[in-house]
Amino acid sequence: MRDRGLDVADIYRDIYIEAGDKARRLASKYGYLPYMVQRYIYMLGYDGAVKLLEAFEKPLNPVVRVNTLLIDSEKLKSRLESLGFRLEEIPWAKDAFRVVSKPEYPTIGSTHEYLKGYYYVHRDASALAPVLLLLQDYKGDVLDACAAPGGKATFASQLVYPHGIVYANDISLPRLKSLIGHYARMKLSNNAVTWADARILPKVWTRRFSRVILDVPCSSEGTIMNDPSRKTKTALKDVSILVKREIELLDAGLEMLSQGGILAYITCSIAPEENEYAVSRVLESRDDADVVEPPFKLFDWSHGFTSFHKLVFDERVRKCVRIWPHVHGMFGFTFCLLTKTRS
Amino acid sequence: MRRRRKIKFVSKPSPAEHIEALKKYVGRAFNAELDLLVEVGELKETCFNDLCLIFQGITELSGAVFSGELVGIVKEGHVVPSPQLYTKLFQRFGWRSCVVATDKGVKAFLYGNDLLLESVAEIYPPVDNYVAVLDYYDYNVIGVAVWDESSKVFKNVFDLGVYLRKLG
Repeated sequence: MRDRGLDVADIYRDIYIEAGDKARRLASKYGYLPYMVQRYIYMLGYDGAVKLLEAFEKPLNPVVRVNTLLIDSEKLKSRLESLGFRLEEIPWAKDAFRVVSKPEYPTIGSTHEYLKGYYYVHRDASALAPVLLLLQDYKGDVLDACAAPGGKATFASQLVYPHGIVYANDISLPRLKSLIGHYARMKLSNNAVTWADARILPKVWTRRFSRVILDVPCSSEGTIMNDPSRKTKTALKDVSILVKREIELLDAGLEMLSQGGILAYITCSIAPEENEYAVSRVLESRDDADVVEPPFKLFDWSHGFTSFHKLVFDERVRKCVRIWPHVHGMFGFTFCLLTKTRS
Repeated sequence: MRRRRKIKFVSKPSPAEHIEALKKYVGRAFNAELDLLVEVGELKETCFNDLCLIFQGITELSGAVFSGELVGIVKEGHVVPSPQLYTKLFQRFGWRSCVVATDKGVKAFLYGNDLLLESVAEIYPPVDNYVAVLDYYDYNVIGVAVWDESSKVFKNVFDLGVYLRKLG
């Protein structure tokens, strides 16, 4: 792994942004930290920023992903509908449904069908996209380096079953507890759950993987519609700290990748600092990594930015995928597929 | 203010007495050897507070806390087969040592309650020790109970709701 001597102060200097009057007015109206809204204006223009802020005012309903190893999708759908849920298909994700309306009782996370492991409840559909793209037609082992609470890991286990094992790692013990609970509940046996800081994995494990899922702990700025506390939770200084960790995690993730393998770098954030900036910083420090185009199009997503405010990114991050709440009706979500060109 | 509760966590090879308890139960209830279904020598155990999960380890990677299939559960001193192990046993040896719960019984049982005799639709002996509780709807294992002669109920030892309540 590269010893890059990352400095939070340097990152902060790079990403520093001053909010203008328009941004401050919008921030005050919608209850945000001004720098965040200034970012939205830089990325989307004033009208686009307003549309994004409006989209963030509307909570999204959860998404049910069927455990097709235990039950057929149609059967589960009709069982949940008989309980009073109304489900809508996700056009690009087979075996997943958005909960459009629900009965007073039970909740979607407490039905008998849920307890029997027939499905996983995702907060949104966006998380399914990178896993589908990464594991399409792949049948080997997978490393999910920051796996808890387990949405992507259990999905990956379903997709590679029975050929591959998903190594689901996380640093947080309370969250690992949930992850193990999901594996036990869903009766998915092709798993190996490990407890470690993903940044040290290249040092303590000798084995490498052809597929790596790296959903890094981030600001979760894309999930504001379901967690409005995020409007004011992360000051720009805190973003710098997150970005430092994200760069370190991506670096470690690439170390865990075998030559020719593919890694999905994922954040539920729309912040360019946590995405294009972090990826560019890693690309500029390594000559063995490249960004690849997603192998096919699930829906009409947006591309990564090649510049933002005063920052110019590596051209290759244009291949990254951006999901916008006001355009795609999902969480704000960004992911990049990277490959290792040399071991 | 919410106080963060510390998790009591242990991960180790499964203790001999736990493996022995599982072996004994499978032998008595199904007249079978546990070794036929699982690699007994590879059993490991991870505990979160008072709930321990016995699993068949499939990795030696450092930091491994769970892997492969859930084989057994240790809860409040009870060592019982997991729903996955019961399913294997039924596939191989037929319905034994289980009771089938009615819809009403399933609802109560999955929320941690005991199973009343009036909520039992079918009984497959022997029932003098732990029994698997099956859902009448699809005959899936939803937990484990033990007959209590004094209160005339199948006492809840473990149910699938535990994953939510204890691990969730």
